[in-house]
Amino acid sequence: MINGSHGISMLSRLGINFIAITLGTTVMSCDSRQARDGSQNIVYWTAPSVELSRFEKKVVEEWNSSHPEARITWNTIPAGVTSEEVILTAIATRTGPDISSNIFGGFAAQLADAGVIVALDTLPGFWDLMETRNMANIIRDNWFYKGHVYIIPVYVNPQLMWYNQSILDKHGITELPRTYSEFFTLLDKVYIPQKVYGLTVDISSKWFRRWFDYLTLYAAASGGEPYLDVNESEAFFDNKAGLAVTEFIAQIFKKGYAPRFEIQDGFKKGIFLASIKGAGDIVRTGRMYPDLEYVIAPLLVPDYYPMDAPVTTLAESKGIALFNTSQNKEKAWDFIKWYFSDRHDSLWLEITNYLPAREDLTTNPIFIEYFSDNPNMGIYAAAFEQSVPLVMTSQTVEVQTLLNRELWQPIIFGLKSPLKASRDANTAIERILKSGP
Amino acid sequence: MVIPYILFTIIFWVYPLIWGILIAFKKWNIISPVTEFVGLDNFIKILHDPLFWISFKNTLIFMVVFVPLSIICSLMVALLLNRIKLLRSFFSLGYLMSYVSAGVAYSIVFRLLFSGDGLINSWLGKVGITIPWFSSPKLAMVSIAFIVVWKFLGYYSLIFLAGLQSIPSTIYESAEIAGASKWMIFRRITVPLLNPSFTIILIFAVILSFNIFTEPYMITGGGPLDSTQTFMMQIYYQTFTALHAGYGSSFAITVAIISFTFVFIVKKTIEKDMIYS
Repeated sequence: MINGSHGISMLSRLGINFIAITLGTTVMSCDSRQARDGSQNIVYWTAPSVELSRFEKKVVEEWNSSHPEARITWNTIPAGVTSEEVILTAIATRTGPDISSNIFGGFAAQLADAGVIVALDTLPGFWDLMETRNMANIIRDNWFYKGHVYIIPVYVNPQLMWYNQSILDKHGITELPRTYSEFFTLLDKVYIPQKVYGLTVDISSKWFRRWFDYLTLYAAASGGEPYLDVNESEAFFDNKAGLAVTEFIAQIFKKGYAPRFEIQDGFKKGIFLASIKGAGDIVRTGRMYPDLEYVIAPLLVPDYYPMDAPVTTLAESKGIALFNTSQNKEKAWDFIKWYFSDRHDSLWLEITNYLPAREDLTTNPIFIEYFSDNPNMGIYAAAFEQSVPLVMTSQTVEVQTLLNRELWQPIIFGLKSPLKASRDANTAIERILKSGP
Repeated sequence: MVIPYILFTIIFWVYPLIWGILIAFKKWNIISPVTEFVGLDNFIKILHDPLFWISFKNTLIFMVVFVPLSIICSLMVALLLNRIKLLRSFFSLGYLMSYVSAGVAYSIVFRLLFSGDGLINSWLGKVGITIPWFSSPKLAMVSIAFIVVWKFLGYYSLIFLAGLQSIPSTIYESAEIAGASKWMIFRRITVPLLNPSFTIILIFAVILSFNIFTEPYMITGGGPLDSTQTFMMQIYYQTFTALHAGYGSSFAITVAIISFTFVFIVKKTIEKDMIYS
């Protein structure tokens, strides 16, 4: 029989033992990346997308079958509103991967500032890889941050205009608009209040949505000029191009050509004449709305834009980064070098329908058959030559949050004039750039 | 025997609290080992942050809609449940379903239901009405409050139901014998004797108003025009998106102090000692 004090002391010991065992198991499990057979385990995270996962699964299986000494444990980035927040939480809690793809330039800059990712250009064979993949100029022109390259872009997603073919046919329209004025003239014909709108405009305040509307239109209106000078802490949202874009969006809402509420898949359901979309939308649209017919065209430009000048667009891009916390950097870098190859890029395009980030998309024979089978993707591949990337700054989220707050939302709800909204956005963003991350 | 509980409290409560207070006085980007002591700068910055005051205003709007509406609706449900004898548990559990539902899941469902071309507006469209539930800056927070009322209706009703069932039936019988009307019985007996339930629900509702996150985060993202920005969204944004963990922590401490002040005022104003006599 156990008396009271013995019972308590035994329970205390049990409690302490339980906690010790739990903590011990947790600590031991932290070193699980070294497998029992001595092989090294590399944790690799990718975008939570069905198409991308099909590609990654295939490639990782291929690597693992030929590299038993450095096996890849592949997972999609755990569920969350944005991949960035999930990756950050994982880094903060020391549960992050060795390698992750789906990282955009601004996020890579944040990670680089914090010293958690490797400067890839310091690793052996980096420039050979860039030359082999035909992306050396892309990297030199756009992917340097504070003197180093921290991310290798996997794909690019330039944005173009889509027009609903049946609406165009219904009104006998054969010539597509080039400028804002031509677009408004066209909308005067096709707009039916509450039934047919002009342009899908995202009214949400999610910071990343501005890549696909304001900043894309700015790239076209400015001929590809950057919207920020990070080194000088300058913003250019109140210049000629910025004002033209803001005025355009203000007019769209003033004239009722876009609603101030969300309509799910409005373009695809034929409720909107036009929409700005990326190459990634082609397959999704084909799968969900197989009967939808549309025409792809360059972005609209302001009336002052020269007739003979090519129209630039913005190409959102995501890439792969190697984390400093990795215990197996050498093997992980071997995997990254192996990952980027002609064969894999060809397979990538075939499976994911996203454009690989390389300069020879329209000239390399390995892609010719794909683009002849998928002419709409060919339009995007050609547009990539006229595209610019996002400005690389570790303050991307803050900049675009302020762009939403000072310009985008007040313009949609008609609370500010385009001039005031542009100037307010400029002032607020320059202030945040000067204060630093 | 108490050691596990003490350890648990130290690991999961005391340590995070002290750590949170310490980083509130630092500039730290959450992923870097480098921190910089900034004294009271983070707290001073809060007072000049327009988003703090916008979140405060939105919290008050939410509270003004949510607190009375949730109390009235849950009291009505509790009164109905108290009258029925058959299947009372079944109905109680039914109302509780919303409380145990995943916030992210029902937020997505509500967003789709109430969007511009969602099911609700499609029905309303038949009589020529479209309501911008989540896209009007004036209506968005009210719509969010309606959803949260739906979520907590069953839970608060159960608290009221427990309160109703603890009132001795002899008090009602005496009042009826004395000729009191039903309204008078409700006003003079039921409501005063439900004071403990009112107090606890009010405290819960006030705390919840300061902690609202999932619904606005998933449905409106804080828009339109920051009309659904909340304290918790700002803390999350500052800490995990903008990587200002020190500022996020000072924000959290400030909000906690405001929240406790509100709770203290509510408790002092509403709570009364109950004596059945």
